[in-house]
Amino acid sequence: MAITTTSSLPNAEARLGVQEPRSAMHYALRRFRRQRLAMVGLVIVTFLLILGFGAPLLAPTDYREASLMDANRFPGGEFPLGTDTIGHDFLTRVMFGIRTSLMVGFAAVAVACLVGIPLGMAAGLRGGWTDFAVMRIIEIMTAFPGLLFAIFLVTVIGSGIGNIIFVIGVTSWLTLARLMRAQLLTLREQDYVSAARSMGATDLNIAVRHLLPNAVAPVIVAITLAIPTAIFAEAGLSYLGIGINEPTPSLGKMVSDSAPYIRIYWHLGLFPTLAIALIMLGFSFVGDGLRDALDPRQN
Amino acid sequence: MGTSGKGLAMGQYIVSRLLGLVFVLFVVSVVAFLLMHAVPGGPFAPDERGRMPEATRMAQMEKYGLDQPLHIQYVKYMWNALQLDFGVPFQSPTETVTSLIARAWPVTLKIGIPTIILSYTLGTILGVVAAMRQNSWVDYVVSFMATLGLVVPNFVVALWLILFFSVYLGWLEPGGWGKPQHYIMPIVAYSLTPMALVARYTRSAILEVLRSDHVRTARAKGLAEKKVMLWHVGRNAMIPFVTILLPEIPNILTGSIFIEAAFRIPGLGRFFVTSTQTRDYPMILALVLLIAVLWGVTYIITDILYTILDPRIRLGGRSNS
Amino acid sequence: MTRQPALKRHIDTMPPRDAAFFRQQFSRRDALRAGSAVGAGFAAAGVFGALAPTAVVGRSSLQDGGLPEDAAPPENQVLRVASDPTIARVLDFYEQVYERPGLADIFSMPLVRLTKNFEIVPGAASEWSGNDDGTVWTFTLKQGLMWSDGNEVTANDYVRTFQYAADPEHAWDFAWFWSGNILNFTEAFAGDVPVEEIGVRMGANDYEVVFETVAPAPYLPAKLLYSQPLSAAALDEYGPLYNTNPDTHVSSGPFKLEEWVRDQQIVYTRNEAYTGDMDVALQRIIVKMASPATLFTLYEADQIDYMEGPAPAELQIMEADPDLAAQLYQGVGDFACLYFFFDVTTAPFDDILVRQAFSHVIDRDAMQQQIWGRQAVAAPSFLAPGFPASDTEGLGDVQAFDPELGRELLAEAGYPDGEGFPDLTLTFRGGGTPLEEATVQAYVAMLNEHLSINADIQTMDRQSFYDDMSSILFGWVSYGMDFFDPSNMLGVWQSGGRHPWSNEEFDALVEEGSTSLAEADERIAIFQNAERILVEDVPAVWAYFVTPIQFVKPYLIGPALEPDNNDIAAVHWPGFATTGHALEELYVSADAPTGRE
Repeated sequence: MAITTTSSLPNAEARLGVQEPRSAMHYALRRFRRQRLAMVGLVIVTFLLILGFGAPLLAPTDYREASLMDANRFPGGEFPLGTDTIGHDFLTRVMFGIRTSLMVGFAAVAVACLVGIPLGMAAGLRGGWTDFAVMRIIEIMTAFPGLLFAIFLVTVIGSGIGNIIFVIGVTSWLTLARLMRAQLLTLREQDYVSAARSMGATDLNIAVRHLLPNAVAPVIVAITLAIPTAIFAEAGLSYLGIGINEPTPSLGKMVSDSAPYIRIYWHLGLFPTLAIALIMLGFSFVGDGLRDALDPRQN
Repeated sequence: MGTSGKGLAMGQYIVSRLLGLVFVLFVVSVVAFLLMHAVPGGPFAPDERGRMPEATRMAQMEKYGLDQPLHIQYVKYMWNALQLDFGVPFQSPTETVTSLIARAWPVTLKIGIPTIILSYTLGTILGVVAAMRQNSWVDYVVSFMATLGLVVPNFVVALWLILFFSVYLGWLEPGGWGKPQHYIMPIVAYSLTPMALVARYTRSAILEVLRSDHVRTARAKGLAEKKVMLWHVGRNAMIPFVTILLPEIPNILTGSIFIEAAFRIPGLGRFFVTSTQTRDYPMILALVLLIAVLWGVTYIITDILYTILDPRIRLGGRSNS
Repeated sequence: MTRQPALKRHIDTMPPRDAAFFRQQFSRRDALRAGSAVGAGFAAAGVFGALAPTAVVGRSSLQDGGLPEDAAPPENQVLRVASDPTIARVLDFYEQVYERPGLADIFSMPLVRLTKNFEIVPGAASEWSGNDDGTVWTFTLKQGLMWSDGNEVTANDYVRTFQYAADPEHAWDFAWFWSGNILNFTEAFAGDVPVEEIGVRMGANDYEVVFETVAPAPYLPAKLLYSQPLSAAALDEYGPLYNTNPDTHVSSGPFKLEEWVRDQQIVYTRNEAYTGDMDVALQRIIVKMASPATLFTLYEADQIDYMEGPAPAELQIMEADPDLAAQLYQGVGDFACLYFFFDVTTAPFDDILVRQAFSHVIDRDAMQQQIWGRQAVAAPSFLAPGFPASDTEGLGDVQAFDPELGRELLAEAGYPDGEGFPDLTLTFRGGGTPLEEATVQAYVAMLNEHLSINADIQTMDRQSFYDDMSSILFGWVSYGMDFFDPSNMLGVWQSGGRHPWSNEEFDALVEEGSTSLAEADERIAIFQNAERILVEDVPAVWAYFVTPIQFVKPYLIGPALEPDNNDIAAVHWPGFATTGHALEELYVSADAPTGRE
């Protein structure tokens, strides 16, 4: 019961993202632009980034502000998206909620990268015992129920945005590590690598100068797709009550809090759900577009 | 390599993987054990007046065997576990962990297995259709709806289903267990996300393979279009299918706490959350081991399937140069 | 053993001051209005004059052996309720209190019972008396009450049950209730003396139970509402969990356990071996396992006949429709008070000015209107209206809403405009109702608005929360009464309890009131002085008292739903247990749908 979707196949990730090294970036961009869904996704993501990170400037009020006597208003007039049960302006809450989601998404994935990519690279490049150790760690962590692990961690270290980023990051690095490893496993057999080695380049040197640029494409795709997964994980944890602390808005917590009121105050559930949906859609389309674009076999 | 040789290699491979799984189980159990004891509190009901005397607390720890050093507790537990005795769950002292799982898990499976069948078949069909009509409106609609299925939390779907079919229309009971109608809404609600996932990956897998060298070669050879489709596309499209989608299965089979709570299904899902909250150590350990076994076996099957599907991949993980 | 000169229960022959005490009728005249109920806490009503069971006030009008004219036939006398499966662990109070399903404790009779008007009346005991100083209480059991295994209910069952409660190996979660009250209970629970030495023993014969207390305990009969015995024979043969399985189940109450399908439902049916005097029309009770969020849809879909605690939107839906609104009942529950509390031993809350500032920025009127509706009433103090010694009017000014004053006090404390105030975390006890969530979030917004203080709300699971509550700096919790005496509620705040607040004067007053045999008025005055200290020292900011809402299908009728002496119409606490009369005072009407299951 993992909280993030992971892919398996310790022995065969080669198939997932192998490609010949290419640097014709502008061909890739051209292909990307031709994917309509991808462009739509890009627009959505840009919109969300502006809405989210611009929230402190753009939102009508501060997210802590609430006027209890204005609570439970439907959308319209003074409150474009209505108000929630405490009297917060709902548009503000949703905007800051988007911001929280994006922050958690980016930061958690950053943590995952910081842990996963070096580990994956080390495993792929070095092989041998490093590879063995890393693969066993990955196997063990995958076998452990993600939700259980998250609940444990939160019970021990407490909830809150920093801790949640840590928890999600620590349970999401597996895919990235595996992907990185798979890339390197194939790429390291290439001629130019042995050539570089014979010229005395160190492992680290090889990794950074030769392999990383070429391995990067599928990893970018994976990162793009990992962001919505992390956001969804945060929403789930917040729904269970162990995620972001109020009054920091969290879209998942808003959906959860709306349940007792949803029979009448439909806006309390609709807008956060839409926001989550938009985030997922945007990043998924972009990720798909990137994958299609960076695949040289497309015509 | 002759078939018998391949069979032998396969057999060896399976054995080695199973041994690896045992190792993983061992480590997972240790990790779970340590984590649980890192969390403060115990299996006793919380005392709202805060007055449980120290002596009584000690007596309680003794009763549950929690006063002994950790490694002794662990050894005792594993020794029993090897004999398939997982103890008594604190949450439900009148049954054993084994009997609790034996009664609750089949319920979850009765929802989970139809969900898998439904979502995977429908999802594949949708994905194939979308791939064959790439960039047409069919493709867009399917892609859009697929992502939507991934994006709306299943507790929201459950809520709307109940409101619509139970409260407004009165066609179905809002939840419960024991009658055929109790299967309908949970399976529908639970299937949407996997269906979307399957549709997406099927579509992209088929697209990818349609353009690959294999197919071009096969076409060049002049094979009939249909044959090309079924044979090459099918086989290679199964690969990411197996990669991403097979691991979804253990996910589904362990149940969703949201679905089971919303539809009052007496399954295993809720114990994943309540066991941590109540510090039900025997239950947690059993659940952890259960999941580890499920995932481990899934991966082994995945890897084996993989080698059958793509002859370029060999067992053992060496690259193919 | 010779009988002590006794304070007889006959009011007429009692010394006046004691008579006044024993005439306690806990009136809740102003329960739902903001008025005080001080004087109304006690009233002479001659309730205790009668000894014979047939004359007990509040008894159901249902006659023995026959159903009222408008009742459905026995096969349709089915009651369906719901319960949270996560707390459905055992069915007996004396096994575990906090993890029983919503409908439990119907397998035996407590010594005393409670009427709809909160009067103490005979239960399994036909009479009782205390000695001069109130430290020895003798209860005489009615004879002829049988267990379903053929044994008679005797004093031994009660003695064994209390010994089991004191057993440290059992670690009963309600042991504090008798600790410090029954002789040697604390010591036995700590393992220092054998359980046989606690102050509960057989009297002169098999039908006499004698309680010895540490100090004078005038409220002991009231506390013995919680005295449903386990069967000594079954304890010996099957162990304390015998009631979790129909095969080993033993009952001396009107119902027996027919089946318990874990996580699905519990079914009780009439106990044919019942020889007691409860007049119950209901033949079958089904308890369906459902999480609280699903209760309303079950009720709407006619899957259950009764529910409590709707979500705010669900309540609004019911109120909006005249037919549905008639199914709505509002009660007082267990007089629960929900409040924010401080760790007064740690900065910044060791400064009373800070605490007072916090107490002046909670706008209860706005919360009443926007959040609580009919499900709660504002709490300016700790004891709810209608509870003895409650003084919500008299204490209303102490923690009144006055943001200006709050700002001044905060500035005086050294944090003008919230500057320099440390980052604050409010620890919220997990599993709270939507009302609790909304109230807490609203208060945090008010702290921000009026005091410019930013607080984060962190949810902590119940185990961890209660485990270490005294070290929580700023938190939210509740307390509801366990028995009808201010010593119970106020006892929560005595030194060494779950809150780190400690006030000698308060302790002394509560102690004095608890053990006093004085006139009712005097005791009340003592407790009120104590409460005043509590409210004025602000170890807590009181938020609201719960007035739980119940939905009852129109085909469930009976005296239980008629207004009590205070015009409150609801199924009263303790609900459907044998401790109360609801089981006798509720039945299914003839126009109810059939085939309900």
